[in-house]
Amino acid sequence: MSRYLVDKFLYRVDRDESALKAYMENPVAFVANWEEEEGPWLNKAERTSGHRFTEEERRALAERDFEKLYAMGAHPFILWTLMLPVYEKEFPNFRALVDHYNNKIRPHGRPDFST
Amino acid sequence: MAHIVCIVGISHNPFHHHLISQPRSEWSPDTVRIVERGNLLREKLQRAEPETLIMVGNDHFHQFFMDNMPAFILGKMDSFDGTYYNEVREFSLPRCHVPGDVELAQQILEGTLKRGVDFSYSNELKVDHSVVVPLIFVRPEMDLPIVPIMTNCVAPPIPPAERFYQVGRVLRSVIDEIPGNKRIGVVVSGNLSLEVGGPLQFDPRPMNEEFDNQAVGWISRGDIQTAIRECTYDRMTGAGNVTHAFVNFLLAMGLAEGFRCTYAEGFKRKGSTQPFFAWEPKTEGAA
Repeated sequence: MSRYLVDKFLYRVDRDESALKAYMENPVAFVANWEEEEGPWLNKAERTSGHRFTEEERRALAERDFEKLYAMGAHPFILWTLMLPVYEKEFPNFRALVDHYNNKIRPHGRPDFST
Repeated sequence: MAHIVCIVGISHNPFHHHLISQPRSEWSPDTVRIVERGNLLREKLQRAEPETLIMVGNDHFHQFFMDNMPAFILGKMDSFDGTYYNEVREFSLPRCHVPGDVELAQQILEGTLKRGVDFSYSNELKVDHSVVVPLIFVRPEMDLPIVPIMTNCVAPPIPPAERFYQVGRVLRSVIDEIPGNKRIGVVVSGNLSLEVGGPLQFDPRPMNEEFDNQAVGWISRGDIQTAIRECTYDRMTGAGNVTHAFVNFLLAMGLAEGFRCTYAEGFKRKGSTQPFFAWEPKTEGAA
């Protein structure tokens, strides 16, 4: 498990307009590419080897399965801030998205999200 | 000696900017009352005639992430950029530039290091809504130079409540010994009980009214010992998953040692309760 790497993905994608666009257009390809081209990089020059996605994490990100990610202990703040733009156009209004999101994660309570 | 002339505490709720950007005729009664309270704090700060502002807030995973997460970090630059892409996207927050007070930042950094508070520092800090939103309310001109201080209340483990208070006290002792006669205002942002990204987010009611009432009481009475005892990580999480930003106000209490709390309100509205606080120096001869 790499809760840290999942959070790094959520954090980086939410804060980068082109990454967000690419993730929304083709999540499977984007996650695979990100895992090689951005995930293990500390900066442009230095690669690190301490984190890899598990198969479950990789699939949950590719499927944009926020319920699974929340239950696994993704940081709730950055998970929400990414899932908001990802899903908002699929709902008639903000309140409808919030209700759907909250109902999905509610059964999982408050998972530990420390890294 | 340099001295603190006024301390205000306010929400950094990024939706507030959106609310006040609407035409006045469309403001809800809650919006009107939030603006009234913001104006009250703005006027207090203005009357105190600060030359420079210390801005205490908490970065929300904008510049800082778990690859390098400072507990307390100070920005020392002669100008700061504010607002990130996702804050423009979600909240229509304006991009902005604010002058910085490098001299004061350096004095605070050197002074606190000597007194056992190891601030991290940044010569390239971009501030987020925890600085920009309070400025929009209490110093919309964004003309005074700032020293931003960012705390970690979002990525556990976070420093215990007592540490926030201690850091405030040490900051105060350092400021009180800075040569010269600089007039310093302080703006601290945070929240009362609040949830973002958890199952209770955006409930149209206060998140935890009991916590909010108690928290405002600790501030108004200056009851730091009870505040420290009650603000455990678990108690705050139970009151809402991002309630932890309340402890920024305990840092303010440390800075406000010997001051009078002249305003303390948890403004109840449809949704989370909003904090508004002020501390001012006791005037000469006052009890």
